[in-house]
Amino acid sequence: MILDVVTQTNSTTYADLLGVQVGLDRLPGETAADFIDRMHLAVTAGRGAEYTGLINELNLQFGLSLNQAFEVSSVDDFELTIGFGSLKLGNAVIELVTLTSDDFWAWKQISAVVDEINALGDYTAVLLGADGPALTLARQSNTLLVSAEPIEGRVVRLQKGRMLAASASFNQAVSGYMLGPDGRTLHFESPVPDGTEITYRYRVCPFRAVASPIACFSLLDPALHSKALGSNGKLIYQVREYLDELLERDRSYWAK
Amino acid sequence: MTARSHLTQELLNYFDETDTRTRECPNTLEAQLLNSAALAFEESDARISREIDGRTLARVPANLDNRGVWYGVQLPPGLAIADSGPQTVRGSNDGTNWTSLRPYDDWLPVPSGVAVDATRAVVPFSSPTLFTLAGDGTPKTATAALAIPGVLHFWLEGMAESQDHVSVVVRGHKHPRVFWAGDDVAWTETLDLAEEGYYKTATTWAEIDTVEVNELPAGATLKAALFPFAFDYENDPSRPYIHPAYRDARFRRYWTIDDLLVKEVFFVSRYGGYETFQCYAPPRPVSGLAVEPNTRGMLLWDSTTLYYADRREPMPDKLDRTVLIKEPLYGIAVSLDPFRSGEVRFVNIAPFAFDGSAQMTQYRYLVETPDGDTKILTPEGRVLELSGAVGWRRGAPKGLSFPLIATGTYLFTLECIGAQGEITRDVFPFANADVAPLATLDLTGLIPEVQGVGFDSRQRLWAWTGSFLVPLKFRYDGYVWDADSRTVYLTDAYSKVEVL
Repeated sequence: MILDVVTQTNSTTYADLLGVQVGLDRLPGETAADFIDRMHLAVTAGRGAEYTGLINELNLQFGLSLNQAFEVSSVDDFELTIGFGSLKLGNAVIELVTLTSDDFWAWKQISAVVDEINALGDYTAVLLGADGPALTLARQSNTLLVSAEPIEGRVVRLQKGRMLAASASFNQAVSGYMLGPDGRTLHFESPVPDGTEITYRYRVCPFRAVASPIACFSLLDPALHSKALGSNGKLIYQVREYLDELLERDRSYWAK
Repeated sequence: MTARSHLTQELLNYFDETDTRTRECPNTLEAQLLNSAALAFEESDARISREIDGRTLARVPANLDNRGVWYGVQLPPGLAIADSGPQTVRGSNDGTNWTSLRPYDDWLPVPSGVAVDATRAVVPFSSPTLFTLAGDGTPKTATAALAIPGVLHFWLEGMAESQDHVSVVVRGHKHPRVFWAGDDVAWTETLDLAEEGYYKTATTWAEIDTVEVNELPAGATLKAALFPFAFDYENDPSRPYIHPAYRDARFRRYWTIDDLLVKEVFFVSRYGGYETFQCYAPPRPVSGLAVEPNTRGMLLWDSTTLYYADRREPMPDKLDRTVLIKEPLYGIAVSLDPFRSGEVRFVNIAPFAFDGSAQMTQYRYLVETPDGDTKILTPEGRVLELSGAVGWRRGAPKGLSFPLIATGTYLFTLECIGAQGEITRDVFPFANADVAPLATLDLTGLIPEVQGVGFDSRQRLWAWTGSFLVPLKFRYDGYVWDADSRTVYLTDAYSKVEVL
């Protein structure tokens, strides 16, 4: 007998059993080897409730991958922040999205953003991954936080360099100190008390910006107000579509 | 030939060490009996190992079960099929050209074809060796650029009399990388190398920052590679070698290519080096081999051909001839001569005395070649035509070395005449084994020339051309039958399936 209904199907492999422990299912047609890669990422990447954890989790569940979009470097340290629809580099602001005349979001390509950074003159930007709409640039900053790092002794070398001196705080009183020229070594007047922890911010320079194939923004994002309104005060087209879809799928919006 | 389990010798070693015949002759009746049990133990051992490895991300098997993706065809209720499965399964994509499919065996998944895996990229790769460090007792530091993510493989040799353990500290970033700045923390793995030989990291690395090596003594070298084919020996970790002289000791088993032969060797000691205990003639000279993880298979290659073979040692044929009715005056043990190299293998034929040896008056050796021809073998190594009165010698039997020209099972016989004129015999079958490829895959058109083949940390296949790593993927044209759901699961995609 000749049969012509052939269905691709996943079997239950050893990898699938491990997937239960990391909260992932193998996608249809995904090989065990690819799934193992995804599970490795699931145990090393943060999957908490914060923004990066949410982005990570969405990518993990859908079998997608974050990638490095571009690298920015400069002779001096710099501050870079990517928010919804704009990139702030030092004092310069680069808009990532523009509105067309029919109130439609037109996202710049990442390569165009790289060109604009290079045009600023003080920075060098290099495209690292595949080009795509700047909507995929995740919300991020090169100013990062280290929380409650244990320290001891009089001369302390921190886990991260380029510490912002004014950002340091301690869980208990310490003697006066100076931050060394490497931005990483603290010289205290006397050894810190046992159990001392330091919380501080530091800069990552050069900085590699991350892009995610799944863009994620909050309707409560303060930046959305200026980006989502069209010329006549109406919501721009895509946001209207998003909201319509939300209201359609989540009936709780209609509850009385 | 039936496979001889590597655990058979472990069972034989429970006989007392004075029971030389049982301990040292691999093909006795006891060995044949215990081999049946050892094969079952080996399968259980492999199953348990799979289960244990399956509990950790670093070691979970990825190449089993057709990598987890199948193509199912459910049979209609009207089609009568035995519970054991269909007699014939064929697949076609055009309805005209049909391919016969065979039951898929997870222990020995014999490929039916090979193709470039389009889901992975071809990668520039100039050398499998990442670095080689020569020891002088001082700490050494190296770094390595990885062409693809992978584990680091190490080969340590030349330790001589050093009592120190070599410490290898690898620092870098795990694969897959976390791209968020601040979250991509560096990872460190430390290896403690107590003896010469092969080691590998548990971590799959995306990037190596430094490799710090301590206590590498003068005269020793440590070689690091992205694939084990950079080394002269291929480790077979799931099948340790067990020596008849050492009960409860397990030695590392390695494979190597020596001249025109494929050899199984074990690491004796720093002074004894690597000793050959089995030798195989490949169908054509091969330039390398790779042990397939989690299965009984291995790959061998020459410049444009890939062979797939069972890597288990064969039992000789003609084992029915080893039955002893009366204890012979002298026994005979035949073993591979480990000190001979070259295309022709030699065996050492060694007599050993039994209780009645004092009654021995004359002896002679016979050899039956694989084609069934029996000759007389003189202690001087000459081969004479078989005749009742030819070849007898007086005195205690002498050992000799004998070349094996043909592949197959040789039968060596030691005949002894006692004081009363009665003749007793001991017979020893010796398998002059060859590599019997279960699949021969032509790589012409895929790869210009193969210089190495290996599996990455996810057990995916790669071939090295000398300048590029090419991802390869087997097809199996196999199926499994699930009687409960009356479904045939195919290893490869077909639009039409014929089931009889």
